Amino acid sequence: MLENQPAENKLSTYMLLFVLITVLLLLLATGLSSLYSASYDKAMRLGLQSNYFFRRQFLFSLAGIAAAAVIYFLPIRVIRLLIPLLLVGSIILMLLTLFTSLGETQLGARRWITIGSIGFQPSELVKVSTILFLANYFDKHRDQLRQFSYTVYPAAVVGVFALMIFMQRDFSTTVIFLFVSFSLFAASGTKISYLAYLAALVGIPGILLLFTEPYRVRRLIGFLFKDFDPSGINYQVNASLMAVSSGGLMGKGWGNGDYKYGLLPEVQSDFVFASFVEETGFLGGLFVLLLFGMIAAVGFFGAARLREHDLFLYFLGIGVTSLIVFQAYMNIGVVIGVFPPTGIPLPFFSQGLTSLIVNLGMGGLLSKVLAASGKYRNSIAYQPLDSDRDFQEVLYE
Amino acid sequence: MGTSGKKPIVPLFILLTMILLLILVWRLGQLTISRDMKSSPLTGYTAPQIASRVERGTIYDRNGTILALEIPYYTCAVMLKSVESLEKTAENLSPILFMTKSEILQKMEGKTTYAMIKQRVSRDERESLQAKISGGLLPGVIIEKRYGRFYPQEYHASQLIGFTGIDNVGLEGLEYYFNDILSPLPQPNETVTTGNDIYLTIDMRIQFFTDRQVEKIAEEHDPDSISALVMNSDTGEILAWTSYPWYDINRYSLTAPEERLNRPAVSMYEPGSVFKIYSLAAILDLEEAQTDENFICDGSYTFTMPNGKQSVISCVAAHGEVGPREILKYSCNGAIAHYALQTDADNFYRKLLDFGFSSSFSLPVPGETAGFLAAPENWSGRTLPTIAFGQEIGVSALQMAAAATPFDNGGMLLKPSVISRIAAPDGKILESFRRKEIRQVISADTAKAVLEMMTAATEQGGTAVQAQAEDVATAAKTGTAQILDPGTRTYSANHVLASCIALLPAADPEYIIYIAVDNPKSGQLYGSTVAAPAVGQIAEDLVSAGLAASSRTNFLVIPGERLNAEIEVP
Repeated sequence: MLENQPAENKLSTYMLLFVLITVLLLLLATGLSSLYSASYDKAMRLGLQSNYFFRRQFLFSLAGIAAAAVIYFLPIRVIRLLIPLLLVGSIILMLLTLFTSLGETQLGARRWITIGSIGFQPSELVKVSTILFLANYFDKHRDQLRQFSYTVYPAAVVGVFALMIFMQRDFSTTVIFLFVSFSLFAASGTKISYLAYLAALVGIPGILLLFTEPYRVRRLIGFLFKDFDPSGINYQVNASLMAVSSGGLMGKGWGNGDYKYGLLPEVQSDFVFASFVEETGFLGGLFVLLLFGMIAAVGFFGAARLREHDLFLYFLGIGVTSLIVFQAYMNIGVVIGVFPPTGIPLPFFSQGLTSLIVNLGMGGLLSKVLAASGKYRNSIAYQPLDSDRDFQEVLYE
Repeated sequence: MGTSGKKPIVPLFILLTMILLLILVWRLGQLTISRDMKSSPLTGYTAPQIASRVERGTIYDRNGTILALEIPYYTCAVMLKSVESLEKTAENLSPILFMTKSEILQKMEGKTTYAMIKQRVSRDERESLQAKISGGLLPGVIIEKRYGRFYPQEYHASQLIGFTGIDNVGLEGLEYYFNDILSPLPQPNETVTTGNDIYLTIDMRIQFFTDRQVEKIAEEHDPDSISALVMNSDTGEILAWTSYPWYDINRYSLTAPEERLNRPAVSMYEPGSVFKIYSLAAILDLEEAQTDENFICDGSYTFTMPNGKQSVISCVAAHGEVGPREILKYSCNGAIAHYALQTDADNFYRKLLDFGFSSSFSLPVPGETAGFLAAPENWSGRTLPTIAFGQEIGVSALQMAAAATPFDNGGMLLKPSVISRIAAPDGKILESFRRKEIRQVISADTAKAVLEMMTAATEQGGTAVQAQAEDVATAAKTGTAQILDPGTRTYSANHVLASCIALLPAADPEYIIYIAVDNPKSGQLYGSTVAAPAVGQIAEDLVSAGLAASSRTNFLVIPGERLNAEIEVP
């Protein structure tokens, strides 16, 4: 084991970090300019200044970058101390949203707390707090996880949060949240049988709850049967598909899209990618898909290096990476009709201030993970020792 | 290290991401590059073939007289890119379109590709244009076929109907309110989508009668404006709706805003003495005032306000001994004030709200006013008696007419309506008028009593004697309201609103007629001389047209009555 092997030079130590920051800045720049193009008409239709959405998003991205920098320079010890605070804060904010008049309902979902003119979406915060909590917990109790009670406790925390997000009528965020939490449980090394229990415990009521809201059922039917209600439930996805398709290989040109002029609802938030591809074509879409792919590559690769050295950062890296990347892919999948329509924003693109700050904050966390992983850049070398045997055992248990 | 985290789970994550990435890239390529929307099992979506044109539905009156119709028309435009010389084109077009050369050049100024020269060219113009274009003499000039509205009834009920703009989208009135019903979205699998037809409750015959009288008032008395309504008192259907000054809807672009103002629903004013029928009904129904003790009117009425000060309400003349019936006959301010002061302000206020004042009927008429009636806690010592004779309250003509429905319906207020039915293109009735009772306002006895008292006004010596028709007995009330001068904030001496309401036939009403004339300038100011004669003439016309039963039964045998008579004989 080559622990704390000194770096040969700074460049190679910080290679992954450098790639990550470049990718994040590229995504942010692309996202902001695409938001401006997609949203100016909508802003003017609402009687606002044409750059209203863009300006707010831009100012908050500066705040988000500052937050990311602060997080990057905070010692890990401090971050871990802050976790209980974050958890309690998340719970309080969620309860305030759900049960007090501070909570605001938009488009039928009660997801926001309004402070002045800024709507804050606590469920975004919950996602990060939970990842931090699970990473911390799995690290602290790394030796006890094969006992049932030590799996139940974090599972209960996840369950309570999932229920609260669900009560905000935010089915899609609940699904993403559960998916990422489940990934962390899978990575934690708990028994496969426990994982199966958890999956059943969450999955069966989840599928039942899917059918508790008529709109979800209609969306599902709309997804399965494309000719069903083309001007109603399928309108948005159809408009989105037509926008994407009209982009062709090269797109209509930056700012030249037509679908943002009232044809595509929510073009500035969940469907911004459709407008982006309409204007930049297949190549633009591929570029963004690959940028998110790069985050996945550096994030997972960097986390893997830490597996033997720092479990907290290992779990954190996995959690944060999969949250950003799967959210992005899920959103793009909805826009191009691979998944049924749900309200997941595209990180760094969709208009949404909480989401932007939280995503940039997660960028800060991931930077921290990658900076730490640079020290162990040789330890990724595969070591077919007892770890491998363990995994086999677990698999065929 | 413990067992935790030892499984190399990360490759699994990377694999999953890669698979997802490949699916998304493949799908994105399929959509953008091969533009293949159909073959994919994930999106078997076929864009439906939708209609290329929507034919706007027709608006009719209740009997099927056309009020608004879609017709094709032709425009003359110039494609500027294929024009050699603007000057020459303008010179050639000028004699055909009856426009000057500079006018045509002005239309083309600042345009780069397309210039509309004339909307709606006549048939002659089109034919000579067509001949020249076919002969190659007018390069770049095109004739375009378009569809637009034609309003055969021109100015009748113009503000109620409203109009569509150049793109055939409703901009005002019912055309605006029912735009989506008249002109729905283009439907799939048809070439032309036809909109729904709307039948109004308006009866064009009655509308003509009304408008003829309104025009007569306008000529004789030169008022600022006139609102007139005729309503079916049994159902609440509005049969005539007039706002003067009016305009020819076909030339809406040449109108002034005051011509387009839909006064019966939109304008709010102080109604004056016509309102006494409602305040008297409220007072009688509340039974708090001692209305069996007559009031002695000596030309003015002095009372003490709650703050101890004396206040005077004056009458036009000394009416002598006045009871409820005489209040309506002579329109005595003192007496109604006297009885109103014996009534609890809150109860009186609630009764007026029950009559429909201070709230709108939510008719499909853009801009319908709710009127204005202050809450009792904001009333001064003079407000209660003042409201009783129709000042210090803001009403619309629609409210005034509708509030009379309880007198014919046992005290039940009816919702007024302007829509008789809405029919799909295939003739299927989608929605049809239903008599809608809003609430019981007064008792049936009070309603009957007030209606009877209203006939006193049309008797000899009553103020509304001119609202009497020769062939039909009417129950009526006139009013002459003082109008507040916004400059001096006092009531103006010579700016009045003369109005008259009538229910007819008095014995069992079928119609409510209401006319309000704002600022007559002929020297005659009173509702009894300005508005009442018109009401009487409309009543006469209704009988002549066979729309209302004549009260002269001596030469008519009414089958029902004869039957009753036979039964009663033994």
